Parts: sequence; C-alpha cells; structure tokens
Amino acid sequence: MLTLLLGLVIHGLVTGSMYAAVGLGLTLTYGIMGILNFAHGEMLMVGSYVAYVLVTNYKVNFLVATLGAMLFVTVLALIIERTTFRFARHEHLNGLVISLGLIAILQNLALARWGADPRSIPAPFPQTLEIFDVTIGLQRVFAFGLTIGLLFVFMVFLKATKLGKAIRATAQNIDVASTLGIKGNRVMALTFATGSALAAMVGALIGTIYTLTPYMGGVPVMKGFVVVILGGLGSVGGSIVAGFLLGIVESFGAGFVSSAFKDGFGFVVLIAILLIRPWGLFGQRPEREEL
Amino acid sequence: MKSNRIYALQFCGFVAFGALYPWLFPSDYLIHLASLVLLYIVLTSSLNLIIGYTGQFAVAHAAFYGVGAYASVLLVIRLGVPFWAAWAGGILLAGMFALVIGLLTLHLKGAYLAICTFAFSELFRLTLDNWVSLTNGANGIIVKFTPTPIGIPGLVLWRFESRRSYYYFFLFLAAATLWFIYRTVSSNLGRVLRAIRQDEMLALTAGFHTMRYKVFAFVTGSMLAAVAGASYAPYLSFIAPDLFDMNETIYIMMVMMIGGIRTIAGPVWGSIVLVSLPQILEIKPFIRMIIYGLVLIIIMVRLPGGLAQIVEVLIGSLGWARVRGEKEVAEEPSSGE
Repeated sequence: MLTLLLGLVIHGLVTGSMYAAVGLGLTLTYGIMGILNFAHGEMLMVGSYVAYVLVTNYKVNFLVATLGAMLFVTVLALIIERTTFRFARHEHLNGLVISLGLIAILQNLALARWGADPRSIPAPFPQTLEIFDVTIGLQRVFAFGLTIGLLFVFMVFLKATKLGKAIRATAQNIDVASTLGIKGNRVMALTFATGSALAAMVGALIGTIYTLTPYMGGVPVMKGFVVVILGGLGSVGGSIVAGFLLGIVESFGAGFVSSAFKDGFGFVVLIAILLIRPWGLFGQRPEREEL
Repeated sequence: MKSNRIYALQFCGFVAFGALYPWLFPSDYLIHLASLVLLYIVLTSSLNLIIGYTGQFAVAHAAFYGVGAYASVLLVIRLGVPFWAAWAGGILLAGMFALVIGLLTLHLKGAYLAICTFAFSELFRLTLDNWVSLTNGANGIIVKFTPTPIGIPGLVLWRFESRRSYYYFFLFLAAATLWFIYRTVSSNLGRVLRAIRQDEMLALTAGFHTMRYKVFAFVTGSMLAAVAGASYAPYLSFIAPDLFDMNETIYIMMVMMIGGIRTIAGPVWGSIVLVSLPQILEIKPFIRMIIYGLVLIIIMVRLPGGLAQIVEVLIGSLGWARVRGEKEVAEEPSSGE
C-alpha cells in the first residue's frame, strides 16, 4: 500500500513538473500582456516536432535538440508577438480570438508537413530505475530533473536579475514601468518568448514519453489552464505549486478512480475552483469588476 | 423605420434565392454544398447571439451542436423513440445542459468564462470518447435512419427522401433562425443584451437582472446549435466525437468573425463564402484552416467588421443604399470584457 501511494506521488510529481512549466508560460503571458494564449499548446507541439526532426533526421543529442527546439520556438514567439499579440494587449477577447487563429494555423501547418500519424522521439534514457521499491522510467526522472532545473533557473532570473525585475514591474503596471525607463515592448516580447520556450522544452520531453501528433497541444494547454486558474491568473509561484498539486491529484485519480478518465479530473477540479474561488487557491480576491 | 425595410428586403432576397437555388443548380453536389452552408448559417448566427450581441465569450458551441446530434441519434437507436420526439428531446436536453452550465459559469468574465466553457467542451468530448458502450467511442456512429415524414395522419406533407427535400427543411431552419435572431436583437430584449456587452455594471444599475438575460442568450443560442445538430445528424449519416470538439468551435467562430460579428448578414456571408469556396476550389481542409486562421488574425488586428463591413463599404461606395449597422460595426469588438 505504501509503495503504491509512493508510486502515485512520484508519478504525480513528474507530470506535475511539466504542468507547472506549461502553466508558468501561460500565466506570464496573461500577467504581462493580458492575453490568454490558447495557442500555448501549439508552441509546445512545434517544439516537440523540432526536437523530433533534430533527433531523428540529424542524429543530434537529445539535450542539444531540446535546446534547438527552445531556440526555434523563441524566434517563432518573437515573430508572433510582433505581428499579432502586440496589437491586442490587454484586450482579452481580441487576444483570445487571435490565439485561436494561431491554433488553426500552426496545427494545420504541422498536419501538412508531418501528417496525423503519431510519432515519438527515441528516449535518451530507456532504462528503468527503482526508488524505494517504486519502478519508474529513467526518462521520466530525467524529464523531472530538467524541468525542475529550468524552473529554478527561471525563478532565480525573475527574482535576482535586473531584467527579471523589469518583467515583474511591467506585470504590475506597464505605464509606470515605462516612465521608469523600462522598455515595455521589449520586456513583453521577451516574456512571451521565454514562456513559449519553456513550453517547447516540455514538448520535447513529452515526445520522449508519449507520442507526437499535430493535436498534442490541446491536453497540455488545458492542464496549463487548470494550473493557472488554480494558482491564480498571473501568479508565478501559485502556478508552480498548482502544477505539482494537479499532477498528484491526477495521479491519485487515475490510481483509485479510473485511468480512462484521467484527463477529466483536472477539468472537474478546474470547474469546481472557478465556481468557488475564481481568483485561485493562492490568488488575491480581486475587485468585483475583474471577475 | 427605413432600415427595417432594408433588412426585410435582404431577408426576402435570401429566402427567394434559397427557394430557387435547387432549380438553378440542380446537381446533387451543389445542393449538398448549399445544405452545408445553411447548417453553418444556423451555427454561426446562434453563436453570434452569444458572443457577438451579448458579449459572452463562451467557447462550447460545438459541444451543444454535438449534444443535439448525439442525444437525438442515441434516443432513436438505443431507446427506439420516434424521430421527431427524439429530435425535440435532443434539443431540450441541450437546453437543459446550457441552463445548468450557464447558471454556473455566466457570472464569470472574459478569460475565466472562456476557460470554463472550454473545460466543459473538453469534458463532453472525453465523455463521448470514453463511454464506449453508449456512444461507440471515437469510432462514432453511422446513422442509418431517415426522419419520419412530416404530416398529419393520412396526409403526408413532407418526405425526407432526396437531397432536395432535406435542403428545403434546412432552408426553413436557417430562415427561421435568422428571423428569430433578428427579432430578438432588434427588440428591447436585444437592447439589454447589447447593453450587457458594452457595460454590464451599467445595465445592472439600470435595473436589469443581467444574469437572466445572459442565461437567456446562452440557452437559446445553444439550443439553436442543438437544432442544427439534431437535424443534420440523419442527413450527414455519421457522427463522431471529433466533429464536435474545440476545433469545430474555432471553425464556427472563424466563419462568424470573418463574415462579420454583430451583424445579421455577417454570418450569412461568412457561411456562403467560407464554407462553399474551399469545396468548389477543392482546397484541402488544412490549407483552408491555415488561410482562415490568417484572415481571422488580420481581421482582429485591422478590420473588426469582417466581410459584412467590406460588403457594406462596397454597397456604400456604389451609392446604392445606406445600410444600418455601420455604427455598430465600427465599435471596438473588445468591450465585452
């Protein structure tokens, strides 16, 4: 029994770390640009395919391929920000519609290029590992480590560097931040690109554990929304905690209730949270107008 | 009012052309194409009532379309209910779902509402995918029955045997939907709905129970989508979960927005051009989606009025008539936050 519980917790933490990374990108984009990016999952999908091409066609080392995917998506995100989202800042609905348009474009481009057949990236660590009698794929442990590492680096960047401070200042109030000499446009573009790069990394990792299809972005972005709402829209720390929480809830739901409905638990939690505490578990209750 | 007459004229033109269409283009393929256009006129106009006029950004429209289709088909094949009873049952069921979901979620705003309705839409798809004993899962259901003829005992008024007979039924549905939406938005009720979109707090302080109006718009819009689903399921003869997922909602929204949000004619133009053109030009579906995605983004960034605005500008430049709605189209489309 204890082993089972421990196993569920460990698996929950592994998926939770990815949810946290996806949620972080979404929450940053929302917090800074006021845009709910439904196409975040497509950034993840693009990252996954870039890593796939680099690994299978060019025989690149997986870590390098992940880096390549992140770079590619960063550039893509910068282009998208400049051409579309820049014109819809803090206009929630326009931003949302634009992101839905982006989904249609990116998903179908991938469909045209790679078809709908599922593919997978060969895992660099196919072995399994035993932690306290719990068997787990080494690849998952590796994914967990990489994600946690990047999340940590990102948090330090946000807290300790000047640019990180600029990002936080812009998130709080862009007008005041720009009077203080912070270049709002640049900070926004950069934040959006960083969030997307995180999604690309998760995409590459998912590709080694599950499969790649042009539609793979839908489920993670949904999980990202759950995380973001759970943690409070715009809250960075909240989304990380919520990511792990969701991972564990799902893992227990799959273990004790039904594994076919695994993806459903998140939605149920999400709907419940939105109905009871729409500002999230850790968020501040906003003015009435905002909700 | 003069503008009323112009609308009536356009509406009569639409119905007259629709009625003559099967004689002008008698081939089965072209009639099928027109039937699809009519389907999207119903779907986009009803979404326009929810998103366009009332400003509630709910993205579960395809799910309600699916509830109508699945519920009516399942009632017929699993319980043996007569077709028209099942048809009504499916629509009522969608209405009840919409009522519950609407009461639960419509107090949310903007992004929150979008996420929550998105979650409901995904839950619906997951249920269809996983409740295999009822829905046959992702493989979908082949619909073998045809609607029973309409009529009183002893006198059959309408038989569903050819594409043409289906077509006239769909034309009736589309015309009824357009008429209903027009009557709704041009009444006092519609004025309240638009007030909610522009400033809900103000509408509330003016003494309107805004929640009731939002629920009304959401439930009727969703039920109209279910009408489309229940009516088209036997015609399309195949239903599957991925016909009613988020991508379908996005597609409906694209047609609505590219056509022109917050106008009666916009969804009609959008459906006519965007549904039929790629079929006629034999453009592959993914290329169509890429192009529409691009057009949608350009419209959001540069031209909030959509096709309807272009048409109006063209008509205006011909000096033919001043068309009502200019003022509305010129508004920022984002004030529904």
